Amino acid sequence: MADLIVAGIALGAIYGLAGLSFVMVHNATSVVNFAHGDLVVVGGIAAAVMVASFGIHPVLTVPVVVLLLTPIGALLEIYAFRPLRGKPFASSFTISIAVGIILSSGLLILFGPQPRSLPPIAVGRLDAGLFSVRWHSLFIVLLTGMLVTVQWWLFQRTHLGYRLRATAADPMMAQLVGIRIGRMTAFTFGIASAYAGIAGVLLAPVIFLSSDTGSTLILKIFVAVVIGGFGTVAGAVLGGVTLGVFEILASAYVSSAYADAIVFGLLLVILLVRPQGFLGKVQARV
Amino acid sequence: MNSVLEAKGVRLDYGGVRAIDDVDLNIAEGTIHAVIGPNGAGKTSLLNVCSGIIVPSAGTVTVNGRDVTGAIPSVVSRAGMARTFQNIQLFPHSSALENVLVGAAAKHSVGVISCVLGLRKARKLDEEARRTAMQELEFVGLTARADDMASSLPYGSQRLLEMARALATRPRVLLLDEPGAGFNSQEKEVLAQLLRAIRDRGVVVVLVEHDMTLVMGVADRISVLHYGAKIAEGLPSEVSRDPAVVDAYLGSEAED
Amino acid sequence: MRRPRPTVFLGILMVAGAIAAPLVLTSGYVMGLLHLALVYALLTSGFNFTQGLSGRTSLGHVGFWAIGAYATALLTGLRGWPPLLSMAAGVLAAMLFAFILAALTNALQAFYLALATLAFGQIVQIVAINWTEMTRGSGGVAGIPAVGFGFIDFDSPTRQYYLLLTLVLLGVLFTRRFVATKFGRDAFAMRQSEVAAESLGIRTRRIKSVTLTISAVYASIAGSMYAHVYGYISPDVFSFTTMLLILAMLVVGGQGTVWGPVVGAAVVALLPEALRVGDRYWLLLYGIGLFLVMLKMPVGIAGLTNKFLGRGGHESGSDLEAQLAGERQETPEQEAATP
Repeated sequence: MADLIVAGIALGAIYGLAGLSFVMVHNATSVVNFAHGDLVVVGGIAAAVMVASFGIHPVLTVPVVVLLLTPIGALLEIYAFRPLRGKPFASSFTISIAVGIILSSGLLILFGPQPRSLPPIAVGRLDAGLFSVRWHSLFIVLLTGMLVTVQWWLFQRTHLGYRLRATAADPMMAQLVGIRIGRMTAFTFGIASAYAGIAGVLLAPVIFLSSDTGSTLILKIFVAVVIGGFGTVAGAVLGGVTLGVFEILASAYVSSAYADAIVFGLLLVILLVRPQGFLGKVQARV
Repeated sequence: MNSVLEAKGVRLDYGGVRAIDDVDLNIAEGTIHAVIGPNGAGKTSLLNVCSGIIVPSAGTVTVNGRDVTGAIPSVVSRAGMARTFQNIQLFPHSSALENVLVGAAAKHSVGVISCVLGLRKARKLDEEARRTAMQELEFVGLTARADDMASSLPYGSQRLLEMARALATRPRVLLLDEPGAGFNSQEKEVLAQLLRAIRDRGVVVVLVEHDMTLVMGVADRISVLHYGAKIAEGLPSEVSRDPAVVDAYLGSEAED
Repeated sequence: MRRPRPTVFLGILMVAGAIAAPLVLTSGYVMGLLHLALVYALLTSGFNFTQGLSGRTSLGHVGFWAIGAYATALLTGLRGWPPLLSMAAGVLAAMLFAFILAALTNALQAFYLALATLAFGQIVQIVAINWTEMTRGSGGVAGIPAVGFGFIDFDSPTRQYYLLLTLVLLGVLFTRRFVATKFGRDAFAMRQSEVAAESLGIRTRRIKSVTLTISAVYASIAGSMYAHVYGYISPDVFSFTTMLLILAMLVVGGQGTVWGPVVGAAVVALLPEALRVGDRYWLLLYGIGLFLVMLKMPVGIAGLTNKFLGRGGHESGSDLEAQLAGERQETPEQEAATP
């Protein structure tokens, strides 16, 4: 049982990483990026292909994935989302669906339909008396914790982060005081996509990834961020972990399909009763 | 005195800040009542509470004798209130006439079925609404632009159109949120005349404004808000001499 | 005196072509495609009431489609009910669920609305897959007879085609009638500014509930017809992926227009065949196409050729872009006067 919980936390950490980068994008540009799940999958499959073709150690794929996904994210912001700034929700949402389709079909064409996986970063377990934990799970949690800290530090403690936040809060004012908001938003998208890619690398050893896994994944990201509190990074992480633990436990003790139904049912209840989730901010009335 | 709009003990707490602090407002028939105050004083929030967009944390709002505290905006509107918005909420893809028509027909209760079947009642109400809409367009001087897309109208006309649309709902009280924003002095003079004409029609006007000249020239009574609380109220001449008011405005200017 | 718009001629031409089609296209395969296109057209026409006319992105539409399909499959297919009765039962069930879903989601906006309605659609599919005693699970339901009422049986592809075509045209006519009513006008107003519409006294909650219910009725009928025409349904098709397909069909065709859903459905259902590319390449093209439409032609095909909602509009599609971006035009005097 403890093993399951740890596995749940590890999976949840991955969801949290994907979720927080999703929220990062939304906070900066008001975009709900449906393609975020596909970005995760791009990272994961790219890593899997590198390991399979070149035999490098999985850890080394992380920097490559970052280098790959950051410009992709920036380009997406510039060419897909920036032109639609100010338009209603459905516009950016629909174009993000288009981007998702392009990414997933691109993966399909380049790498084929077979599901891919990665060997875990480290094998074996850490046995420390009372508790025993898989190295891989530990690695996931530690790396995610590190990345969350880096994100916090970047946004809250650096001048760049200050400018990023200013751009997110009030683009017009930010522009007036001389901040290059285009660079800020592209940069934010870039970092967020890099984080998504890393989440993919962490995910690949845990579940099989195929080109169309992105759309399933984004649904989970949606649920995770809303449960935890949409709009806050802490909420995304909390929601992600909650979802991860729930999923693992539910698949073990209940049928995994009905587990999904329960999650969606819970989501409906939350949206009705407390749409801001655990940690989010309350929205205005009309 | 017949009170058309009454707000009593209104309090609004929002995210740890008290945006409106125990405010009373009593708007009498046949008046133009201005609500002024430095930026962030809570004026727009007060309007939003009165029109139902925000639920107050405490207090009551009564329109035409009817308690509409916490009611949704369409209910408050049906009690006899209409409003315009600080950031102009027109229907940009509809013509000027259509905008006002929506307002004129808004309160007609026609079932979906009778609408779709084009029953007599639905058609008659629509004709009536059209007449009302044309009247209001004429009242604000936009008859010539009736068929133009609302978004193609110059800024000033858009504000006037929004007022026409609100008036088309035949309200007893009209809330205007910064109707003169972005107007030059000539346009503000036209606006002042329009406001007096509205008052003379029997519609009470509640006006949130920044332009002192406009307010002094047109208001019958003024309420002054500062940090969410009402610090002064009375005739324009009284309020402009009130030391608390002068302090509030000078004080906030010094802060900038 | 108004010149008849070119779109009216085009429309008549296309309807005539549609009526004549089965006489010319006799391949069973092509007929199958046309059936699918027509089912999609009806389905998307329903979706137009929420997304297009009311501006409410409600991603549970595919759930109503499933309800109609399963009503027919389980009642007529498995229990031998008369087809019209099952269809009616499906419609009633869909309306009930729509009413409930509306009550649950009317206060939600944008992302939260999309998510809540999406959750509904997912729950419907999950139940269809897992409640095997009732729905036969992932194996689906086979052996659904053709639809018929009175002494007419629609059992040949041609008859099915004409029945579907009639339903689609009826759906289009209803949409056309709807947008011209006060209700349609209020829905359009709500779409442009919900706060303004609500503050004018329009009962926006009622509009949301009614449009969602109408969309559910369309979807349910489309589902029942789908079950009859194919004779077999499987829960896989009622997926979120299909929901996104419906959204794409509406957007490409032209949201908020009368013919947009039909055009969009035709494009998405028939274009892959016309282009003859492999499955995965078609997917890529489709993604790129949707991308380009969103960037360059957000009013969709019908939006470009038709005036927006076919009403008094003086703007062509390109002006709409500027409007959608919220440009505000100032007169020269105002420019000078503003400090």
